[in-house]
Amino acid sequence: MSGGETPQVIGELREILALATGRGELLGIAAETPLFGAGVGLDSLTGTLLLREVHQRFGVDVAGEDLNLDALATLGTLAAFISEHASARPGS
Amino acid sequence: MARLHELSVRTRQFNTIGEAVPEPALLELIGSPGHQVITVRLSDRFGDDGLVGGCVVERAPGTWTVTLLMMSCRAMGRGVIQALLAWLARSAGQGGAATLAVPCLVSPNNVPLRLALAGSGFRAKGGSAGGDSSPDRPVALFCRPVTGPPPELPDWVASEVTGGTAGGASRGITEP
Repeated sequence: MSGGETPQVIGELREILALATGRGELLGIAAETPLFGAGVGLDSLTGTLLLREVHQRFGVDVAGEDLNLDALATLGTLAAFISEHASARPGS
Repeated sequence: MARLHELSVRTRQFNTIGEAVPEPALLELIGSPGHQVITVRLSDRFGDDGLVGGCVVERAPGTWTVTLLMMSCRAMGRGVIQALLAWLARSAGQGGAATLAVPCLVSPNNVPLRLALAGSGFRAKGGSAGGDSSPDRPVALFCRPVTGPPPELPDWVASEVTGGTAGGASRGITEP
């Protein structure tokens, strides 16, 4: 995977977020949308579902590699983190 | 007291230390002038979940440190951990502290707690919590400033002093 595929990752993340939260409107959010707070409103439950699905789909353990979970700042930063770390994995 | 001990034994996803705390140690903390023991009760229109969480706060000048925080997964996804962290930040600020610190075991088991800390403005300071951390048991010190505008508290939160001695106090945060 390369950084150029980030838009595809963003699309998949929108689907994951919509499923995890039950909010279909998240399918249309911008890459700059914050995941915590007033943006997506990610909490412990939806965040855990998101990270679990990211691990399964992309093989990236965000919580294991990012102590402060900075990757969860916005939809775009998470997609970039996934692209970067998935591309660093042998065989990917 | 028995329920607090039970929470320390049974909680994993929302637990900062990942190990049980004996009842006598909890009793000692409640009576300690330098500590505050906070209990969290939760009820909504569907029923009363009773005591779902608790934490122990060490109040030193400048910094309040949450030496133990635990919460039942029954409270997960209901905004309770976020409300508790906001309440703690407000209390620390009102108490004259500049920083609220939460030493937290870094484990795959308590990622939900780290999500709550990240979402509530806490950042790991220096990567580890010094003497509390070891390669087998990494502990990070998550901190947030409390000198600015206090975080909003959900309007369903009510707090009360329910007891305490010599400066130690037990508070309850309830959802009416």
